[in-house]
Amino acid sequence: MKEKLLPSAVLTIVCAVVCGLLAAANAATHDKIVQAEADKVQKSLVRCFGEGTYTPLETAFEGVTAVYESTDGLQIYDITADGYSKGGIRALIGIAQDGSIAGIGIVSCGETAGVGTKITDPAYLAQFDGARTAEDFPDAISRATFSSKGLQSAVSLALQCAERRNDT
Amino acid sequence: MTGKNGYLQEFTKGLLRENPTLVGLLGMCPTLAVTSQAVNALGMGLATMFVLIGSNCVISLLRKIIPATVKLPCYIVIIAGFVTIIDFLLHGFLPELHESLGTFLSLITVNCIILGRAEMFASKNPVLPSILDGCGMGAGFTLSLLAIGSVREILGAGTWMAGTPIALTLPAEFPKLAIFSSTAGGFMTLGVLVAIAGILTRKPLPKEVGCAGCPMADGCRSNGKESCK
Repeated sequence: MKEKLLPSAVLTIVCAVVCGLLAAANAATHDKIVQAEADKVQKSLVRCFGEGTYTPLETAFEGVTAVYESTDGLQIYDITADGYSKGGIRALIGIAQDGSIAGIGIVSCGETAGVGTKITDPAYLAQFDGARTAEDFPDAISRATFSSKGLQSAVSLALQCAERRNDT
Repeated sequence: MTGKNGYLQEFTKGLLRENPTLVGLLGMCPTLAVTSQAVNALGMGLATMFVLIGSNCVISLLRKIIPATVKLPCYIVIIAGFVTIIDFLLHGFLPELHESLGTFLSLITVNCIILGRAEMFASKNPVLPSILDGCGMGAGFTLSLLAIGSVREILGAGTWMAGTPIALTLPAEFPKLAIFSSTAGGFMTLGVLVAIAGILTRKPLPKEVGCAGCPMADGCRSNGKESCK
């Protein structure tokens, strides 16, 4: 009887203890992690669109994590898109009042280092500036097609959202 | 096993003689996946080393309590717990490092070096040698990854440790071999380094093999009668 019960009992205890430790670790670091994530977005906003106050808007769109408005009237869409890896690209897409792209910032890029990460090149991102439709987008970067398409889909989504928002 | 030399050996064996990557050929997935840049290779190596020392320590402490029938599930739960806790800590306190390691951090759980050392060493040895074994194996893994990452980054991208204070950039006329940034170049680098490690760790073959040590002895007509030359 002991041989039958002991293994399950030990495994149960090990799992319970590890779960307890994880719960404790989560409780201890949860606030820090939320803070770190918020800091990261704020830092990216400041890096891409300059110093200023960015107010989160109440509007919700499908596929858009958050929308911010800057003091000079820029709408900034925080969008996570699939590149070569699922959810690999998190970008901030700034749209000016006339509905054209005013700037793109990459918050995080989980794409293949040295290959997909080429889309984070500021010179490439700058080529989107002023685009109003998908026809104005620059060509995909060769050898980084999936990542480029992911970024393009994020930019398209931002443009669509901005259009819908201005219509209503 | 006891005494200063024994302990020192537990540490040094992982560096070259029983190097997990170049001699044991364990943990090939992270080895190939994160070594296109030296910085990522170093970060991955250090994170793995940390988990390895922790899991070796805990598993060694529990080695007499865990029954043989459930040892693998127990080890995996302990290792996964360690990885998740480190994930939380890095995310909260060092978000930049967490960012650069990305998904590979959680994949440390399934790195077979960690489970391998738990099964082969920590489950049979006391705590102190297990910790030293973890340090040595972790250091060996880190050094191997750093070597592969350095070769690939220098040849493939023309830089070394890009994005750190000690970053080096080769002059622009130095040809960049893009294949070294891709997986194929990773395999090539790994193969050459495995060969070098093989030469460095090569032991001389015994001059004469007796029938007792011969794998063909069962089907050999001279088995037990005379030694073959």
